[in-house]
Amino acid sequence: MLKKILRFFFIDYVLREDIAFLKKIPLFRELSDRSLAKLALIIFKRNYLAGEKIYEINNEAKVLYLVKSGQINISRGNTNKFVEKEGFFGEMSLLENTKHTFSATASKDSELYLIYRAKFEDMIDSNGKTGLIILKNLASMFAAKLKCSEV
Amino acid sequence: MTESTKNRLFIILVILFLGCCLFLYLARSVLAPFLIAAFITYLISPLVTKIQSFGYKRFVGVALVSVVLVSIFAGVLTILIPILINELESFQVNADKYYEYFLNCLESIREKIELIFPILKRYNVSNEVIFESKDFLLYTAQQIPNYLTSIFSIFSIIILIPMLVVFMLLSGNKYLKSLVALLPSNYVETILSIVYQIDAIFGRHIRGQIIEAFFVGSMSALSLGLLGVNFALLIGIIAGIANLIPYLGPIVGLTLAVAVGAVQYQTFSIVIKIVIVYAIIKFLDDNFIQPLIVGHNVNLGPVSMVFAMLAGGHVFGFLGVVFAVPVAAILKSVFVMLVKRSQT
Repeated sequence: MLKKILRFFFIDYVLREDIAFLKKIPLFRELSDRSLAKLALIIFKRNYLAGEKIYEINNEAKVLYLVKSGQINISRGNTNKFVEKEGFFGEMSLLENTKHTFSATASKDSELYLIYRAKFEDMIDSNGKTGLIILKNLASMFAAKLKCSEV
Repeated sequence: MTESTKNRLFIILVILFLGCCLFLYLARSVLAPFLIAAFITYLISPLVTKIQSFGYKRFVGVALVSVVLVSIFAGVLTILIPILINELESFQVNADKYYEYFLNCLESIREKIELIFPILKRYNVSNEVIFESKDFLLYTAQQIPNYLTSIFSIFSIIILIPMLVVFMLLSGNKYLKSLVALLPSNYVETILSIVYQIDAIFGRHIRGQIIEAFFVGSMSALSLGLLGVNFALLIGIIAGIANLIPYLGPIVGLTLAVAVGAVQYQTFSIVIKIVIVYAIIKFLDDNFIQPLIVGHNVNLGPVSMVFAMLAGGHVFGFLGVVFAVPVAAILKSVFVMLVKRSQT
C-alpha cells in the first residue's frame, strides 16, 4: 500500500506513457528505457486540426515529427503518402541542414510529438550509444526503401 | 483553434514580448535577484533533468539537488566565513597602512616624473593628478558596499533567490511547451530554433563563466595563501567574481594581489612571484578549462563585446556587464536566423 502511494507521488506516469509510445516507433527500436526517457524529456506535444498545414515545401527542416494519433498527408504534386499513428516523418532533418521537399498536412485531427534537431544532437553528443542505435535504425530503413525502389 | 486565430495569437504574443522587454527595462532596478536566480537555474537544471530521466517527477530531482547543494554550500560557508571575517577585520585594521602606502607610492612616482619633466612642476599637474587619484580611490572604496548591497540584499540572498531558483527549476520548460502548443504551425520550427539558440548560448555561456570564475577564484586564493599573501581568500573571491567580466576581470585579481603583496613584503620578488602565479592560472584556464566548456565562445568580435559590456553596464550596472555578452550573442544569432528565414 505504502509502495503504491510512494510510486503515485514520485513516479512520473506521463513520462512512462511517453516512453511506452516511443518504444513503438521503429526509429527508436532497441533503445533502453533511460535513453527513451531522455528523448521523451526533449519532446514537444502539439495538436493539429484536420486540414491544418504542418509545413510546406522549401520550409527549413529542423524537426522530426512522431504521430501520436491521427493521420498526416505528406504530399508533392500528385504524390501522396499517409503517415498514421506510431509513424514518423521529417527524419531527414536529423541528418542534415535541409529544406522540406514535401509538404505535410493533417488529414485528421492529430497529435504530434516534435523533436527539435539541435536538442536531439545534444542528447546524442552526451550519449554516443543512443546516437549509434538511432542512426543504425535510420540506415536500415533507408536501405529497405532503396531495396523496394530497386524492385 | 484555426490557423487564422493562431496567427492573430502569434501577433499578440509578439506585441506582448515587446511590451515585456519595455517593462523589464523600466523595472531594471529590481531585476538583480531574478537574473541571479536564472544564472543558478541554468547551472543546475541539467542535474535535475538527469534525475528526472530515471522516471521520477521533476520535483524529486529539484528536492534532491537542492538538499545536496544547500548542504555543500552550508559546509563551505561554515569553513570559509570565519576566515573571511578574520581577513575583513584585518583589512579594516590595516586599511590606513595601505592608503598611506598608496599615497607614498604616488608621491615617489610624482618626484621621479617631475625630475624627468620639470614643466609638470610649474603647472602643478602632478598634484592635480594625485588629488584626482585620491578622490577616485576614496569614491570607489565608498561605492563597493553600495554595489554589493544593491545586488545582494539579505532578503534576496536568504529568501527571494532560493525561492525563485526552486520555482524556475520546477517549471523547467513547461512554459515553452505551452507556447509551442499555441503557435501557428508555420512558426513552430523557427520559434523552436530561436529558443534553442538562446538556450544554447545563454546556458553554455553561464555554465562556462561559473566554472571559470570558480577555477580562477579558488586557484588565486589557494596560490596566494601558499605564498603567504594577506587576504588570500578575499582576493580570490574578488578575482573569481571579476572574472565574469571579459578582458577586465583577470587584471583585477592580479592588481589587488600585487598591491597587497607589495605592501606586505615591501620587496619586488613577491610581485614577480604573484605575476608568475597569475600567468600560470591564465595558462591553465586558457588551455585546460576553456576547451572543456563546449560552445563557451560566443562568436563576437572584441569591439562588439566591449561595446555590449559598456552599454550593459550603463543601463543595468554590474549585472548588465556580466550578461551583456551572451545577450549580444543571442541578438546577433536571432537576427542572422531571421534574415536567413526572410530570404527563403
